[in-house]
Amino acid sequence: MTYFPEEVVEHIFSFLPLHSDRNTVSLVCRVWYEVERLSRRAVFVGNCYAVRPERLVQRFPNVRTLTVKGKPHFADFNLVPPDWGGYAGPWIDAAARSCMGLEELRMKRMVVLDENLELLARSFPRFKALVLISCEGFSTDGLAAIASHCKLLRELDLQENDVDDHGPRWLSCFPDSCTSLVSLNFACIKGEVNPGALERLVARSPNLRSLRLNRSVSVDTLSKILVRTPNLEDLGTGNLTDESESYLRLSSALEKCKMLRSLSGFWDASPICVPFIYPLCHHLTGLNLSYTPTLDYSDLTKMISRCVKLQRLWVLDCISDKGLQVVASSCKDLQELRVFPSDFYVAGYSVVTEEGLVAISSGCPKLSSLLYFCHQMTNEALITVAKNCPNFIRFRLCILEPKKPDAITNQPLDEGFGAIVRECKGLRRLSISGLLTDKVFMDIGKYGKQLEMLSIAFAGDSDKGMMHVMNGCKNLRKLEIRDSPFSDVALLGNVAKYETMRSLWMSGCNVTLKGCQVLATKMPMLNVEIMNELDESSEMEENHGDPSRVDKLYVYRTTAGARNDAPDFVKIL
Amino acid sequence: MEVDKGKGEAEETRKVAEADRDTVTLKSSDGKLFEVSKEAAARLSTVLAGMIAGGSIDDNGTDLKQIGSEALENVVDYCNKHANSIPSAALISSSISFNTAPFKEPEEWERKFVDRLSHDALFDLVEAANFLGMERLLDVTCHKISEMMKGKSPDQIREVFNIKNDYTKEELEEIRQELAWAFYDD
Repeated sequence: MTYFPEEVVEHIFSFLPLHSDRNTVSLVCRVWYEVERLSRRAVFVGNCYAVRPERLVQRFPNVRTLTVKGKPHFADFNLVPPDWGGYAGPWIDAAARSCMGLEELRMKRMVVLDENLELLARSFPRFKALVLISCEGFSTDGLAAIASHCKLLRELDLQENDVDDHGPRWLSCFPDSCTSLVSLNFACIKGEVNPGALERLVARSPNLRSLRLNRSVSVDTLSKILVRTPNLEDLGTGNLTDESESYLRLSSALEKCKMLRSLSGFWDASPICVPFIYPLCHHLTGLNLSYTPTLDYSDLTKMISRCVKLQRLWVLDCISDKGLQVVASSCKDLQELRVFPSDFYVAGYSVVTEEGLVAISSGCPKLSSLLYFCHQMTNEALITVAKNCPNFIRFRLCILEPKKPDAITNQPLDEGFGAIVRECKGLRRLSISGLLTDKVFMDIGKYGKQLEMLSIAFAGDSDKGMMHVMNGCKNLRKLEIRDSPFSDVALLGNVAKYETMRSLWMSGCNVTLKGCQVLATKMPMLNVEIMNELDESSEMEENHGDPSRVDKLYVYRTTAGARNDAPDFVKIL
Repeated sequence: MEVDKGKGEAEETRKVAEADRDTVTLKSSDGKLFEVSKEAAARLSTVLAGMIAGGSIDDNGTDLKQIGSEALENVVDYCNKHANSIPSAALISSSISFNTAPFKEPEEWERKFVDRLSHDALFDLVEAANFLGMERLLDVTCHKISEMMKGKSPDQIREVFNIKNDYTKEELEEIRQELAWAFYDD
């Protein structure tokens, strides 16, 4: 055989949804490269500075779904200075010039301006989906443009964005002809929306499957909406602060939503509302109670104990260890658990510790993804958890107080985290915390064969620690380190490794300008960005600190060369 | 439906011609004749449907010079099996669930049908399906071929499909790097 007609090759490639497979076939021969690039519908850019937008649209002119990620992950913890970069503008400009067929845009941790959204709204006649996660820079005016002009919009998903609120007008901008919405999420918008406009929009969206409201939406409005959405699968409620009569109506409206499987919202939820949710519970597979500091242990557990099919649970730590025991005995299918810290921490008051985690691990054998903020941990607990749940893919444990040792033995937690990496062979993402020496990194380097992302905070005691990771962890893609004693020696110990990784972040470590310069010279394909902010705290420390010490370092491989939008405080070596 | 092969063509076709024609006769590039239900041919192949409607079907065997006998036999076999299978959900266009792609996974019998083929036979069949405008058969065969690519390395794929690497080493490295650095999935 051999050479199929090009249209057949394209047809075959249409059955290859994975980027990895499409990447592979483009390496087979020139004809396949051409066919692949011209037929690629979905493009993923994991770092917006690793390639220029112009290159993307030149190579994949027929892209329909574009995903671009901007700032480093530590931006979620306010470690990336404001105005660092990650601008959506050039991407939307380039697509508007060359990719008229764009239908979906997904962006994470990027700066999106209203003018970018305006251009987006007017440039792509078949535009269907806008998903913005942890983005900033835009207001409800930009959303108004999207609502007004994207006539075929199916999905508007705004997750955890910082949106300037210019009033409720934006939601009224969806024209009467807009009937295609499948998913609408505006939970992150702080201001009011017009209840009438919301009701009308929902009423003319028969395909709506996912609806997440913000805290301005009342129980009354929610009840009215729900009778219009019999196919709803995913609901984020508005505020649930009303008196009990209104919940009766809500309860009967909820009963009509037979497809409902996932619940979130519960803004300021009053304990009165809880019993009205009970009838839904045994269907739920997803429950997000992380915006609900107003419900205590007993309210939460009464609800959760009824959720016997639950697979994903996000909750605040006010659930307490006792509450997690209820989860463990009720939710046998649990796969993902996130426990977030509540803001009102009072020492000794219902928090979660190693006890809750151990209970979960013994009750929920399918658990594979964990994010757990807690106040204390022990090696013994971690060893038990590792034995009980060897299927962890993501394990992120944040002990809130830095360098906190084992709560019982006062020893470092090396042994416990060592057990996690040893037992969980498929582990891809790991965050470690508490008192940790170089020993834990030896285990991570040795056993973390599948590890792709590692987050380190306040850990290690010498360069050896980081070296273990750099020389082990064959699949490591992202390494982020804060406030750990690693210096130039570790930074420069295995520089070839950086070409196999997407990025390295180091802040509050002991790397120097000289070390960073050496790295940049040795590895010209890397962008070595250093950031020295002259804020008050660093001025105060000026006399003590080493002037050549680099505050923040961000290293990533790139095909694009140095970026030209860096602010003054960022130097690219 | 029986398959007429090779020898004694003239007599065979005359007999068929005398019968009530609810079948059409197709002739492969190497001169073999195959008979297939007219209804199935018209339903499954846009090209044959056009020929039937346009009256350009030859009772003595419509020449399909681009298709070898093995591939044509498989085409006919597919049409017959299709006609015999229960009306397929795969062919009912999905108007309700617009979330899913129009392509429906191969059914059990379709999977078996392509699985028994050698690589060469499969590759010839995909070209025949393309030539005849047989949308479903093209889907099923292309899907099968795509399965042969998933998770493989470029070298493994070149070997299976007997494709020459026409990149220079430098070009290949450049493309590989751009893919890995810029367009790699999470």
